[in-house]
Amino acid sequence: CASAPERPAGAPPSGPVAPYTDTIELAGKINVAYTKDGNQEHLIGRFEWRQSAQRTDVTILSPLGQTVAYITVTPQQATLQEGSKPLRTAENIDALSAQALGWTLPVSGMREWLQGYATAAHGKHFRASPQDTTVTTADGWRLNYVSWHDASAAGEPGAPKPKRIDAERGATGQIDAMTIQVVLDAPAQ
Amino acid sequence: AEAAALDQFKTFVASTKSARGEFTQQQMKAGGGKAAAPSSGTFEFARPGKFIWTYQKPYDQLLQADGEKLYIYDKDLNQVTVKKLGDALGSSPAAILFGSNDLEKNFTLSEAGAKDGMEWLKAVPKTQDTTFEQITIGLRDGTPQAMELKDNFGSVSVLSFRKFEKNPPVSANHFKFVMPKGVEISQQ
Repeated sequence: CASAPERPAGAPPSGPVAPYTDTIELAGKINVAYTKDGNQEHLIGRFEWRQSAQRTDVTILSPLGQTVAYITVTPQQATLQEGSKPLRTAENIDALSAQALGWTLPVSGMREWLQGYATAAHGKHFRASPQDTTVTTADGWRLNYVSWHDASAAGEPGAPKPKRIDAERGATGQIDAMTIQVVLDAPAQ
Repeated sequence: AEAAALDQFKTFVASTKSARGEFTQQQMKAGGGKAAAPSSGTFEFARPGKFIWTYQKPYDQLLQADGEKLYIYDKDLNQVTVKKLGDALGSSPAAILFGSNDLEKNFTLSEAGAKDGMEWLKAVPKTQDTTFEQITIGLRDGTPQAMELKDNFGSVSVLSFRKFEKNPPVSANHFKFVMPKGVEISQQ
């Protein structure tokens, strides 16, 4: 597993997040506030995230665990399956999810953000920590790492793991303002 | 021998005005195999359409229905989402167990035989628009012990119930949602 700075168990999480890995499985709660046809909409649900080097699979579920949509993104294409509707395919997920769900799931960005990493303006690399919690990404998302999982509670005093992440995008051009709030599940004990 | 599932379920529905207990929920991938870590918590319900479904692990979320509205309280986000109960309950596990009595109105029921020490009831939605392809309920001693909900993606949500207490004493406004102070309220 990733080598992480040693820290006494029980001490509040500090120091930067663990090194980035392009293969990871995560799950959590997701809240999306967006505007569709002029009115304020709000999705509240769960998501399951399976990421490998070349692919990201995202399942969106209702709070009580019913699958709402299943998204797959590879460098070549994005696919979205929603309920019993026919499978949709597009070159990228932004256009596809905006069209099908009414909000854009920034999958490529989230591959980094969910682990506490982001690419800011001018390609500057950001690595979150409880002491360094906000960044504006190159494509205009304002990220705020609001809370952290106490890694020592997971039995290993390792690097802090993001828990609540707020991502906000202002309205620019024809893109509407949007807020995605993610709360990642506690790491398996 | 154990009464058939349909009889047990009808008796359960007729004799159970309220109940409470603990649940574990495990999402299974379409091809089998676990999709994510199981979640667990407590549930309480009273017919029709009142319930408190509390997820405790590995995340925290409370879903409370007072018969009219569904409140989803998320402590991490300090937020309460309020929805009309009708469409929110929809075809969720809550609707099957805690909703109105006549499951047969929306589902075709049939015996699915015995398995794992339970008699299983199969419920297939009569209308196509629900998110479920099929639901099976495992009963023993007249109470639901397990539920399997297969959605249109072929993935299955497996629920198991423990410490199932039928008709516990419940005060009249037990299911009335008390809005926590200082939360952000999102009406839908």
